Amino acid sequence: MPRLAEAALPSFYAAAAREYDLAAERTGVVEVDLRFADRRVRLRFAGAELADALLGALAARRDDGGGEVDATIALWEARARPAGSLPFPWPVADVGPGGLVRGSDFSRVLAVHETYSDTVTLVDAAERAVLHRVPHCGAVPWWERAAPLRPALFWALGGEGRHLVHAGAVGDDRGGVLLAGARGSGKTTVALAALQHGLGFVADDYLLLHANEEPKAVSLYGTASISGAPDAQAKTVVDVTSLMPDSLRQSLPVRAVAVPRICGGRARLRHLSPAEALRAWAPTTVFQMPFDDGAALASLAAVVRRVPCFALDVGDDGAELADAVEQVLERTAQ
Amino acid sequence: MPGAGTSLVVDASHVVHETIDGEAILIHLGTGTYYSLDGVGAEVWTLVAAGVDVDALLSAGKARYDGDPVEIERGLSNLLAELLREGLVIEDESQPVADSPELPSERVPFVVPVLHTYADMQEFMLVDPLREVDEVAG
Repeated sequence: MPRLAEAALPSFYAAAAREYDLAAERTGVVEVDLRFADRRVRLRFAGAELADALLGALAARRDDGGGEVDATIALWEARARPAGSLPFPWPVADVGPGGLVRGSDFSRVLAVHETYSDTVTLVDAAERAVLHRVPHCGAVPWWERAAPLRPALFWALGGEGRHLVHAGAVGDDRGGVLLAGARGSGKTTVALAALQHGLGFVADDYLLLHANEEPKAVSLYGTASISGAPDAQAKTVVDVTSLMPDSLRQSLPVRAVAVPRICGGRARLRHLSPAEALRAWAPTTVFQMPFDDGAALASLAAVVRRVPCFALDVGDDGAELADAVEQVLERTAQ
Repeated sequence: MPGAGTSLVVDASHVVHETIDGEAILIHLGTGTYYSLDGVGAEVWTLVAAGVDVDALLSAGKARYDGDPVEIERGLSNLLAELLREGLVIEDESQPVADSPELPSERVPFVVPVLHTYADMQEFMLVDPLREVDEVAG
């Protein structure tokens, strides 16, 4: 298997940083700070058009209050370089699951190359600096508009006990119910049903998990993605931030983990063992974001050990689903 | 089948695992496959993860479980062979043998351990898993 030369990634990172600087000189910089609970991330877009393409789902996280920045992400379009964008120093064969480029050094520079969209994310782990290049802002795919910058935010926000995970979360002042499960399990259905029946919304698909003694679900995106027609080429992205701004919750303490499963018929709630919950939640998180060698597994295990877990059969009636979430909150509220 | 005197160690470069309430969950980062073990299998995994060599593990199993010793040894050896075959553990002659296995002293009936295998996440091992849109509900 081809392996990237040891010096290739740091060299490419330096060259890409220069490419960003040149792009920013031409287009001007749009600087936006985002706040995720106690973390502040600064995005520096080369050009307003790219900012418009990627910021929609992150609008609720904008924070102009100033303060210390925990990480920066510089973003630009490859088309901004008239001579053509820098060629990747790695062969496609070196691009592994999740787009992680083999040869990445987690303690220095690592790269994620999403070859389907030809988007690249470069991370200087020590500096908490991220470079993110897209080919053309008009070609940003729907899933990237719905949940943008996942690899970049993974490193900008992650750390010991903090992980970007595949889960939704809804709740209110009593706390949150974390919705865990693979794609198609019903997370979005439950999250939207809860939202429509008055509960707060943290996420339908991806969130930042603080897995400490009081686990917390932190919102990343103010969107929910639902399927349209069976032959549709894209999901419909629901802009919760615009439609129901008062329902968005920046974060909620995790009181329970619910594992939905599409069943049809009546909604049904039952207790689930922590091991069953972990089996439903951990693989989809670890394999979708294989950027930390599976370190998230221990944190997810810590959460399911700490809070009650439930299986939720997702029926056809949204009110029943919302009621099931209510029942979980009632049983687990402290 | 791993030989006598052999030590088995978790292939930490590819495998992460957690054991909760008597169920072990194993994730192979290189293949996209995950596994679970319960009962006897989870106890065996605890010993393997502790670095117990094969001989000590088989002895510990015979001391722990009620049943035909031959059947017990066969059942445990088959599981170890499967763990090896799936790349979850590797043989490591240099691994120092742990002091002593730590299984509960109470004897329980032997149930042939089964490695439950799940392959539904293997799509993520593709470089570009096409973002399918048939996921009705996220």
